[in-house]
Amino acid sequence: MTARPAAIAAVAVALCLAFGAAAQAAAQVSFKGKTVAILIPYSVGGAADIMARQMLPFIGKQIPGNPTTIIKNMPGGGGIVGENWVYNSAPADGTVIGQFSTSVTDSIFKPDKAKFDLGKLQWLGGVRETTVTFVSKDLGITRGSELAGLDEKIFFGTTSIQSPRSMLPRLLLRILGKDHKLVTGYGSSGDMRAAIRRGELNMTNDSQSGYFAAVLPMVREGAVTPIAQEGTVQDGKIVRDPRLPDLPTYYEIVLEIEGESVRKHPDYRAMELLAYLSGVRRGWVYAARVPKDVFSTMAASFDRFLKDPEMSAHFEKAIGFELVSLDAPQAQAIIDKVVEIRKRDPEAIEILKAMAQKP
Amino acid sequence: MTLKRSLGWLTLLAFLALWIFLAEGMAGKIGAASLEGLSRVFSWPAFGYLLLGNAIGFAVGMLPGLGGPVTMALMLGFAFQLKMDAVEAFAFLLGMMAVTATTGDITSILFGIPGEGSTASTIVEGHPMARKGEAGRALGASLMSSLMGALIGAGAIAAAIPVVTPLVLALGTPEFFMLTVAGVTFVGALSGGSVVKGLAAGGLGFLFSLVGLDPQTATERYTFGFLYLWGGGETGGAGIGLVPATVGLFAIPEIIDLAAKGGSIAQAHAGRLGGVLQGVRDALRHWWLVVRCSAVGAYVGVIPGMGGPVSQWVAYALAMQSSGKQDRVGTGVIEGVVGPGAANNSTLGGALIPTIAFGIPGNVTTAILLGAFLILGLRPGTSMLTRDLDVTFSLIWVLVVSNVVTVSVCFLFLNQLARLTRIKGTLLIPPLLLFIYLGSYTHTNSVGDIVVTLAFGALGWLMVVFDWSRPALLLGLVLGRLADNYLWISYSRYEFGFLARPGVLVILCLILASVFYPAVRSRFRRGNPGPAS
Repeated sequence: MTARPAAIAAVAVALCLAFGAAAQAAAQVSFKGKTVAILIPYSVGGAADIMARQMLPFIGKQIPGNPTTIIKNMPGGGGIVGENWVYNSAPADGTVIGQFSTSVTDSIFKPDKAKFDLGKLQWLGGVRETTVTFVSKDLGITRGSELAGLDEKIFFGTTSIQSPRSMLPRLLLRILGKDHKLVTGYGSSGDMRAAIRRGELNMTNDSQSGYFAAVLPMVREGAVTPIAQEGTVQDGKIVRDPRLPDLPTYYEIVLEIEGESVRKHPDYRAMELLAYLSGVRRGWVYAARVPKDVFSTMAASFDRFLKDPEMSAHFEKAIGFELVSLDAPQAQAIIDKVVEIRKRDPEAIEILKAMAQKP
Repeated sequence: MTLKRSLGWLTLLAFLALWIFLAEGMAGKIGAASLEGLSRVFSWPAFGYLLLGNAIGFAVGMLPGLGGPVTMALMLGFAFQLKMDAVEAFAFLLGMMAVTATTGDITSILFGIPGEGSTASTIVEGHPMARKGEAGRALGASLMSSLMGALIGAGAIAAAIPVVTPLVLALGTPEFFMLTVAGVTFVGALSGGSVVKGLAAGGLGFLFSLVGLDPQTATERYTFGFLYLWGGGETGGAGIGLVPATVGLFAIPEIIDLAAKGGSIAQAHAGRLGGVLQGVRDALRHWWLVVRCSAVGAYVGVIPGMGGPVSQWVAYALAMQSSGKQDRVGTGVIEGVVGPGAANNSTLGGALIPTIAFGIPGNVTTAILLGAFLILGLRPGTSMLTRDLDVTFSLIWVLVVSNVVTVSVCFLFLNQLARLTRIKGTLLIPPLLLFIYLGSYTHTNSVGDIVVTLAFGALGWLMVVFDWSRPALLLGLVLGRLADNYLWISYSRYEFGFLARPGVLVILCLILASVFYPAVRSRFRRGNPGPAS
């Protein structure tokens, strides 16, 4: 009789182990026969949409069960309509993946419209990109640090006052006390490149892909000079992007001109916050409602996708440089840092919000 | 008239002289690259993809609402998956895009429903012709002028190669603003009977264009809390899409009319629906109009933000003014079919110029093409005009060959197409409605698109009933946002100093001259009665 509890315990342990193993196996969710949609919160034909359409064949083959993969465009509200839909209304079975570009800044600049909790999105991965500021040759400077001695008025062009990309150079010019005018309303980077050629602008910036594709030929021609980059967040530090090792970051330039004491300046802290805000340039996300096992299956699929040499070769040819990817934990770490800074340094947040309201 | 014409010739000759001066020494190179480009277009499988693109473009152009740009973005993924090389992909994509404006005119003429956002203007004179039983003639004229326009647009790219820098970079944002103001002066020619009503309709269109996020400070304007009205781009945009608005304004009243009166589209039972050859002769007879409208179309294409939606109305206004039949707007004036038919086709050629030479896309279509350029490893820039000149020429040849192929195919079926106007309306209405709503829905894939289509449908119906000009409203809608944006950029960059720029003053003088010329002329004529021109 005394052996019985032991036997029961043994059986129980064995059962637990068996279930555990079964659960382990079930963690690999299959999408066989399903349709997985990548949701782009913008119109057909934009940069985000074109990138996703190129990705599609590479991602589809990495997802267990080889589901059909499609792109779903849900434009509106500068991205907010699609972001809200993924977070609140999309199916919870993991068949909708959001590809977000501005969810981080939307949650800060448009809190009353963005109906999602940034900290609760589940990040499957993303890509990292820096931005590059360049000046017209008429300005006569060749390095960012020469901005200190520049007297000429700067006309900086951007799409809208809320453009997150324009904020770093705006803060840089503000800290350095440069006479500058923000010229807003350009439809695209192409319009701004034309304006810089015509002498309408003498400074603007572009995404890394835009820089490599369309600005670099202008640099070679001698029409413009790159002076600064946003850099990228690596192990909690802001460093130069490995693909542009010779171009200093905005932070380096400010520190060189103003000295170490500038670190305490609220504008400088706002600049640092911006590095994290755009740390995940394009990220793939699940809503909080998607079950953990579905998330881990998809995160593993994205990891394989991002490490696929065939995919890297395609993108290197297409965008002219190596794709730097973030796996799920890296992307999550950057977002966690944003959430933390938001709680810790409301002053920096307020500076950015004010900049999104007036020049 | 003779003064205007001789001025036109003078400009043309001056341009030719400048061109010869700048192109000197490049001629041999251009010739060789041109032949090389042509042989690449006809190589296999590029030519097969070109024909496939033409076939898709044919259908997309004819289906109302479903537009070229959207389809091209969808086909982009297809081109990647087939691993096409640069020339193959452009044969496919550009081959598709090049013919949408051609076949879009067909739907506009036959059904009074715009096949494309850029073919709405063909409705105004083309559809009344179809109703009178002259569908064949209208189609013949529009197809012939489309072909001529496409050829002139393609020629414009080739002609622009030596003069591309001054052509694209001479004008800045303040001058673009003045050009939109010049566009507004065309409202008079579009307003039909009453200029005051025309101006009011244009002003209403202007107001509608302001709905959305303002492009500078992202302030919400007339959005009433609807995220839909923020617009679709990454930085927000126009709340009221051009495609749903255009389709609503023209298609819905047409369908109401067709349903209410019963019978078929063609009311007059003319003995035969033919007359295609007569239409072709019409286009050839008005060759000078075709040349001028194509030139306007190509230049409007070069200006950023403008494109087919603007050039068609400018061409229509130009055609009606020079025909001297302004009092007969909407009765089937053949010039009003020929002019826009040519302009909406030449615009693509013009829009390609800054895209190729500077990587500056002039409109949505070329922005998507630019994306394709980059992905396929082509770097737009001066190298496209020197080292890769053969690729540039293969693009030109794609435009030419696609239109020749498509227009020839269309002529084979024209009489059958024209017969569609004799089908009973009750059979036509259900499929037309389906295509209209589907097409509108592709704008942002939201039910808001359908609401906008219906609202503009109701507005369009009221405008028809009370005889208000829908073209004037549409012109206001397309120019309003551009004018707002250009004015803001000009002011924030130059403050009021922008008004003193030489380019601005020159355009201002031209505007004043064109506004006051008719009044001065009529006074002059009253004093010296001479032979009527």
